[in-house]
Amino acid sequence: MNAGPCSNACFTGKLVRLVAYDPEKDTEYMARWNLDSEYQQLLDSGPARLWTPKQMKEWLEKHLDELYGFTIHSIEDDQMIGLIDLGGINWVTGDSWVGIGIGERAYWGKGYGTEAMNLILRFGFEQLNLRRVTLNVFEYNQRAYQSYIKCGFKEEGRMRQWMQRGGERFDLVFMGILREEWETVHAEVLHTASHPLPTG
Amino acid sequence: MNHMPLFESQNLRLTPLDAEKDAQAISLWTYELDIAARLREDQPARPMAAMEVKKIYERWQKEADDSNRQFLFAIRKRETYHTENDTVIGVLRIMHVEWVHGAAYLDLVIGDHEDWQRFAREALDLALRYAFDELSLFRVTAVIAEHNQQASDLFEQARFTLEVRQRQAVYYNRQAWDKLHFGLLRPEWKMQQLAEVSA
Repeated sequence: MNAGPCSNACFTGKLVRLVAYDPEKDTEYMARWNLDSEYQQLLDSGPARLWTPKQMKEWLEKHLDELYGFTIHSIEDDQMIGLIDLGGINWVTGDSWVGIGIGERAYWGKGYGTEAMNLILRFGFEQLNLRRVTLNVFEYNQRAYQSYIKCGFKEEGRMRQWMQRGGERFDLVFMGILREEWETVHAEVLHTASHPLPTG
Repeated sequence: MNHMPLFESQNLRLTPLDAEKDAQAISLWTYELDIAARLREDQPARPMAAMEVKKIYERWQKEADDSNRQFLFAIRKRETYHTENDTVIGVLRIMHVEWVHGAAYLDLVIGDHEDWQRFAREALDLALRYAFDELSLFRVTAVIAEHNQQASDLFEQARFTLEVRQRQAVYYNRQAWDKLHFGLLRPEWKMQQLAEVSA
C-alpha cells in the first residue's frame, strides 16, 4: 500500500477540521456552551453543571494528556463549534470510547458532527491501530443516533431505563464500529472527499 | 419493617475488605487473568503480588470514602464463631453508582471454581438485596466477558436480561470475545422476591 503522509489533510474534511486543544482559548467557548442546558443533557448523563472558564481550563490541563481529543472548527468561517475525543482506550483489544459535542446550535443537523466523527475514526483506525470504537447515546438523542448510523456504527444493545430525566426513564444505547466495517463504509465516503484515502 | 439481615446468609458473610489480611489470598486468584482484569481495569491484566492487590484495595477504599459511589465487601464462608477467622472466598463491589439515575454496576469475584459452583448464587442474592433494599437503586448492571460461561449462566439463572453485546471488545486466550452487559431492574427483582415468598 502506498500511503501518503498523515499531515493536516488527515484532520481536514469538507466542512470541518480537527484542531488540537488549546485550554487557554477553548474554555471560553466551552463555558458558554454549558449555559445551554439542552446541550449538556445531550452530551452527559451527570447533572447539568456550570463552571467558570478558569475552572474548565484547570480541568482540561490536568486531563489533556489522557485524551486523543480535538476541537472541531468549521472551515468556512474558522469558528470553533464543538469537541470530539477518543478516550479510555484499551490498548490490548484496541477498543476506544468516543464522545462528541457540537456546542454551537447554528451547526446542528447539517453534517458537521458526522464529518468530524468520520475524521476521528480515520485517525483512530489508521494511526492508533484501533480494532473498534465504542460510544453511548441517550435514547432521546435521535439526531446523534442517526449521525452515528451514517458513520457506520451499529447498535449493540441498550441498558434499559438506565437514566432518569424530568421524571421519565430512558435507555442508554450502546453503539460500536469494527475496523472492517469502517473500511467498508469509508472506502466510498473518503474517495469522494477533498482529501481521499490513499489506496494501493 | 421486616428485618432481613443484609450481611449474612446461610453459608456466607459480607465483611469489610481487609486489605492487610486478604491481599495474599486474592493475589493468588489473579493468575486467572479474567479476575486480574477486573481488579486492574485501566491496564492490561497480569498476575499481581499481594502488595499490589493491597494498593488497589486502598485506592478503591479511598474512592469509596471520597465519592460515596462505591461499596466494597469481602465475601467469607461462615465457618467459625469469629468472623475474622473465616476464609475469604470472594470480593463484591457495587460501583459507579449514579445516584441521579439510580443505576450502578456490580462485580462479583469468587476466586475458586468450586466455591463459585457452591456459593455464587447465594453471594449474588446478598449483593442484590444490598443494591435494591439498602441503596434503593433502580437497576444494576453486570459486565462480563463472553468466555466466562459460568458467569453468564449465573446472571441468566438470576433472571438478568442480556442487554448489550459489545462485539470483540475482549481479548483472551488468543481470540477476541464479546463483552456482555446483563441488567436487572428493581421491579423485576421485586417480582422474584414475591414469587419466592408465595412458593
